[in-house]
Amino acid sequence: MRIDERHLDVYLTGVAELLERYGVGLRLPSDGEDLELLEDDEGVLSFELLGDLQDGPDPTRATVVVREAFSPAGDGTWIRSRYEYELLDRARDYRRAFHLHFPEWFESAYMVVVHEHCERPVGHSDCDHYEGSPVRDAYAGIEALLRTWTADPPDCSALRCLDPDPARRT
Amino acid sequence: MADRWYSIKEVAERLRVSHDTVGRMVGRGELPAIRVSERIVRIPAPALERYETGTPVAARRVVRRRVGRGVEFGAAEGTADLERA
Repeated sequence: MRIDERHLDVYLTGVAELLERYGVGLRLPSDGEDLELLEDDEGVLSFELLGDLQDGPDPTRATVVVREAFSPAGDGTWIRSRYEYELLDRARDYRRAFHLHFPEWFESAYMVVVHEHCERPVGHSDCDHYEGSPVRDAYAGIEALLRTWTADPPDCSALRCLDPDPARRT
Repeated sequence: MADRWYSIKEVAERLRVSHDTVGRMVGRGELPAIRVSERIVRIPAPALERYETGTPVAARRVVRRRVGRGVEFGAAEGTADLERA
């Protein structure tokens, strides 16, 4: 995914809007309404959106996290270089996540650049990393999280484990 | 209604509109929905509740902030190998 500076602002506001329209209550920085786009020393732009999904009258909320980073391509555009889409469903006691980060490490270890997490119950997994498919953008990531949240709790054993060494499994 | 979502039929009954009207609302993106298959659509309960209350989506501004390090990735990996990456 490649994007220019102006469209990155539009994209970020669109992602936040989609979360809110799905009923996710955003937790924004203390002073309120603005969305933060961080620029680091290397020109990488990144954002993190955290929010909660209320499960009817159940006070236990599910937490949704969307993180993305965009690296400068050198021609006035940025390329999405990392992402993390996370769902922590406390009521049903599971975690699902779709990740792209440390691509060089994952490529050398597993010959893939993306992976997933599945813990049920939370904190327990047969596998540190599961095979996954690339997620096109944050809109698709949010849809994957909401699809998970509205479905039955995930069957982690149906996923394919990436970790080759059984001794590393917990 | 399942625990956390409504079908198109259930939304139509709740909003007192036709099935086709709800289908068009979903098609136009007015009502966010999850397409499970070509024929099955789920409307998350919080999305419908927000729609029903007419809560407007805030017009948000993007503020850029220079930082030494941006958003942290990989914090939730929890594997020794990855910590060394």
